[in-house]
Amino acid sequence: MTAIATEPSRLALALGSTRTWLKRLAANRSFLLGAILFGSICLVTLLAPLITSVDPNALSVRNRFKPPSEIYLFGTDNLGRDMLSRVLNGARLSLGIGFAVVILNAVFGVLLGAIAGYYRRLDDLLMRIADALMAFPAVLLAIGIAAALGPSAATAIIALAVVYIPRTARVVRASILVARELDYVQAARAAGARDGRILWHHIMPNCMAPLIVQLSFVFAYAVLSEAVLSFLGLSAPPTVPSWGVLIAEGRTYLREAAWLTVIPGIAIATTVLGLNLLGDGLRDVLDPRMKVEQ
Amino acid sequence: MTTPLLSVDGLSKEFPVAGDNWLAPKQTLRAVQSVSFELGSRQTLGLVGESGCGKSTTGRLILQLIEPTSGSVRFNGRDLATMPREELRQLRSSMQIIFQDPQASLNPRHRVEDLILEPLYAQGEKPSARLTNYAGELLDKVGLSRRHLSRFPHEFSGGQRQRIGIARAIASKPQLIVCDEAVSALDVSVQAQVINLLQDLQDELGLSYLFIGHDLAVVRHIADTMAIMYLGRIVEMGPKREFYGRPLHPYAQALLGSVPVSHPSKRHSRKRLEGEIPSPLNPPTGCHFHPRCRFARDICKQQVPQLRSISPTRQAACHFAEEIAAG
Amino acid sequence: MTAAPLLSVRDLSVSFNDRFTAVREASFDIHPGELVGVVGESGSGKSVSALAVMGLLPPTAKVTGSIHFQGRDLLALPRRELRKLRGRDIGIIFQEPMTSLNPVFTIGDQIAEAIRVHSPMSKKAAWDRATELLEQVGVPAPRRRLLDYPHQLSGGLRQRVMIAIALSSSPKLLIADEPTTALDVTIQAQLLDLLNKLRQDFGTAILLITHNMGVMAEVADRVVVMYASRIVEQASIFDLFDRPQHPYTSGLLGSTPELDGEAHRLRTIAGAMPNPAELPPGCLFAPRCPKAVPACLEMQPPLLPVTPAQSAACIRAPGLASEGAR
Repeated sequence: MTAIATEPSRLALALGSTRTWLKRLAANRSFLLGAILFGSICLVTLLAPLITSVDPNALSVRNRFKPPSEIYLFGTDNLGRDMLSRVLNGARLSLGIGFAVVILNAVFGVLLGAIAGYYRRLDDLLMRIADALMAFPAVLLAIGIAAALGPSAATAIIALAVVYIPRTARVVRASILVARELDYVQAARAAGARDGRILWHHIMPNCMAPLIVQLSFVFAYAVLSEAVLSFLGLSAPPTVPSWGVLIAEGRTYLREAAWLTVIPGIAIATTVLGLNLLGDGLRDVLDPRMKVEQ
Repeated sequence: MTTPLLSVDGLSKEFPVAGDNWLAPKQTLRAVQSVSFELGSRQTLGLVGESGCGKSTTGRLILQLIEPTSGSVRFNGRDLATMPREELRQLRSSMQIIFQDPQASLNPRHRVEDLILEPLYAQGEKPSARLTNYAGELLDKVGLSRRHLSRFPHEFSGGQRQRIGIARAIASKPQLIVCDEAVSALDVSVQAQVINLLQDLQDELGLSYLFIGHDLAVVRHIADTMAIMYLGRIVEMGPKREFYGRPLHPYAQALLGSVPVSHPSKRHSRKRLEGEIPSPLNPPTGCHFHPRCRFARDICKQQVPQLRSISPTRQAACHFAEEIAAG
Repeated sequence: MTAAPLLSVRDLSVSFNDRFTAVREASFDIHPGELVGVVGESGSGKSVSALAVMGLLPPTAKVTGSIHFQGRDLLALPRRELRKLRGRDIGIIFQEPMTSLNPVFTIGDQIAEAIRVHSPMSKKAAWDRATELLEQVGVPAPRRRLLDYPHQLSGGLRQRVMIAIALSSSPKLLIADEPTTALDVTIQAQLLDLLNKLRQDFGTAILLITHNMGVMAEVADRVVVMYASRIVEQASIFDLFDRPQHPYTSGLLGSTPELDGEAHRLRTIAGAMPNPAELPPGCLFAPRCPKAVPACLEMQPPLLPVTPAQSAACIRAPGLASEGAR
């Protein structure tokens, strides 16, 4: 009896104190590994100007197809451009687009999720549209949108945002549907709190955990899908090489110069793996209920 | 006669319920069916029934937490349904609610001070030293102390949490508090403390309670008037003393007969109520109670008995209430 | 009371992780055909005691003392033997029947399965026996009900099915942990009548765990009162209600709302149950006790007989009797 009685208080503790979250995150291996992988990618990307000052587009015909060596850490490509510089600069674009997609997702996902879940007025309509969008394979839909809008980085961001916002909105809506029926939310309503206050003060904190987890996955998918888009020439123009562009360019010389595709491939894989591990760890700690899914 | 504090007239609520599959027709759950009563200032109405009878829904309809399908709720003579939104929002500080589960009714992320001042913040007041002091006074009033102000809900026992819930309910100086199974989840000794606290606060602050519960023995200690619900309808209503002395409706009698005895010498083979509570989705025809009623006749299957006056003070919804009253 | 007890619990203590002790030195007996109630509030240790008797505590629990059932010490029994005994001679009913029933099998499958585990017979015979059992526990139209799935039944009917399963092996002891707490009062009354009938018809001894003194008054022969991990009083039901010896018992009786007499202000017990991590010295009830004297803070009084049929763990108990506690 007592053992059971102490259970809810432990739960409340877990929900209430940030320090316990951090402690449990620090003890989560998946989260730690993910954080290290993704963290180092981000760090290297941010420090890129310090690591190499070579112009990623500087041609050097004499140094074509140099394999990785002490001088050219990642080798050079068919035009003699330094791959280290290209991969690091590509990281900025790839991660930048991913980050922009995450921000758009957070803003519109929460907005649409709240309209559907809290106000319920447009719930049916919004969710049917979301279902329709989610019925297409994500990459295919992104390709369609990007092709329609014409290739540019902004296009890629818009296309990927449109693809992933319904998923985020659904997660937010589901959390809000649960939270709005909680007794303390009803109590706030009974006390005459305005909708904004109820949403911001009482409901949103309950949605943060699933939202953060969802966004970490969106980041991973966005990086991956952006690579596909730029591989197909539907993202930024080749002058600013993103990882997908690098792979597309290197593909022709796969036999002779495998490093041209393998190195950006590893970069994408590491980022996506890191983000997925990070997301898994976050999910286990922040939102144990979701553990069974996926 | 003066206007009663709360006057409920013909209040009904229907919920659409999805069928077993998406091809099946939508069903209607008639959770509350034309419930009417009045509650005066400083009075307590005990609203009692078993699960699925609609008593909690009634409480939430009155507070306009759920929109009624039909009927009216008047608070100090003013119809809440037709009132402008902003006016209703401000009026809400005069009506509060206390929940059954003291754990679920307190936001685990907030400190006690913010929890109990929430009704004031909700009305636009800003945190201040004066409010902190007021929160301390509220805690004193409910038997806690101001040193608890900065703690989180999980640091308290169930009974203490319910006291915090009560402090929140009285913070905005309401006239009406809906107590939705407010003591049902508490241990016996704590339950008694909370009932006494509610009574003291009623005397001190001039509160009216709509006390929703399922335990007739508990409600008896706090209510002035009783209303018994069965499957969405009030089947009996009247002053406490007369009701407990001799309930008129067969269901009310059975409910009273099911309360565990207070002393082993009173064990006897009473007439137990047979059968289960029917599904509110598909209630029996006529009088909802007829399949379990030992007085049931043909008319009970066909005609819904209206809640009608049996004596100047008492009402019952039974075709044979007079006969039953006469014994 | 002179016959050998069916169940005899001696000095039972249960602790978890060395940090917190749920039950301390509990001793009580149950005789054949007797209905013994264990009453207490949450955290009193009543459910943990029941789980200990059932052998259902998690492996992390440290259990000391002895639990003799028909002369055999359950605590010394190998797990397999214990499991066999539990299904056959000891039946169990929990508070929430839905979690104890498998949602993907029909009621009939589950009862028949329980029957066949203990007495091998044909499927057909097992289903016939299942029909019989459902009839005995008062389920209307039992044949048809056997084909239902658990979610198609109401809470009260599910609890009756659980009782039918518990009875399938004709156990000598039935342990019921808050069996009526989740149910409506009219259904609770029906189930209490059923428990009484089982005792009369089959001579099954019942250990009933509850927090409700009224439930005790309805069905119990003898009551064990627990408070903060200890048994504070044991008495026959009449002695307990007429002459409670422990101040906690009187407090509990006083705070129970009643239907008779004037609707007086409820008596309360001041304060709350102590936190198991920081127990007070001496008598655990002393901080809340209206009759406490300085001596109460010095030692935990043992459970001592006040009369042959009543014992209490209170140094002031014998004096209380003459004062008329209620």
